[in-house]
Amino acid sequence: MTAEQELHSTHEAFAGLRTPRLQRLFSDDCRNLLDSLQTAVASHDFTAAARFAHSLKGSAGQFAELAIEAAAATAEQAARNADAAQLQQALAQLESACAQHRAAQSSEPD
Amino acid sequence: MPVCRILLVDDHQMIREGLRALLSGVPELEVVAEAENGHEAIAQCRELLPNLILMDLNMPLLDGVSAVSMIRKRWPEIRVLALTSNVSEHNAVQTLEAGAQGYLLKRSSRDIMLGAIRDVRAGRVFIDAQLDGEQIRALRSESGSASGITLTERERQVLKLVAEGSRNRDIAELLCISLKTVETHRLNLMKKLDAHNGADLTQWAYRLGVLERP
Repeated sequence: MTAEQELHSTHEAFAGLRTPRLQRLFSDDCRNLLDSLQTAVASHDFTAAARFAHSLKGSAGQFAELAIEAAAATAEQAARNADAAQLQQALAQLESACAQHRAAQSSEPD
Repeated sequence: MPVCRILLVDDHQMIREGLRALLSGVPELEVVAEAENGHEAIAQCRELLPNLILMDLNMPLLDGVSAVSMIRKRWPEIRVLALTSNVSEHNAVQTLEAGAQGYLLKRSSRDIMLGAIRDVRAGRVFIDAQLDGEQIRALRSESGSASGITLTERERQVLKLVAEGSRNRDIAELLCISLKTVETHRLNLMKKLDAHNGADLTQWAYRLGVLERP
């Protein structure tokens, strides 16, 4: 299976979640969780950071947003290890993955 | 088959929204209620007696494994399919030992979820294919309990909160018990687990599946 076919197959399997309403809710949820995660990281609250990253990992997994899921998993692990440097790195990856998702959403017709 | 009345339990509203969307349009399934934590789940069970619960494991106040155990003891006819983002054979064992009939990953597709629901309704154990089913079966057959350590529901709650970094005073407030009771539970936990400090207790929280490993 080519990468494109695999992507198509993934999108088919999660078709029930591809409605504009749910995609908008997911985007809003991502933004809120990312904001909360950034605040937790800035205040060195690793417990809260792990919780927000875990929530993001769960919903991104459910919506098959694999890049966000992977970055959130790395952030959660770093927070649980109280590894500030790795957490900052993971947060940057997460911000980038969320920005890419937002860009993809805004380019799709309603 | 009669309509299966489902209770969705997850502290994250987005996940519950997604589950509703994935289950909508399936004639034999009806979502009858939602809950944000284990306490609410128990209250909904008392009121609605659902046939099946889709249960998150990592939740505040009363974690999923404790809730599964309490619900299955009180209402053995209710089936529970655990829903988690944690790819951990050890956690799957803990969850199944607590009484769940299935362990499904949140990242699994709709078809897999519907298959899991079918299996659990039919009385079969479902283990997500992204986990090592053989390892889970082997761990379960090793002993009645994966670790040989049994904690009370309250001890599990206290252990979870300690491992999450809560102070004794906060735990007392959250669980509506006295500070002295929290201290007693904490001491009992340290004795039972041969733990000497908070870090030891946190390690045990992961080992016992009270906290999910990332």
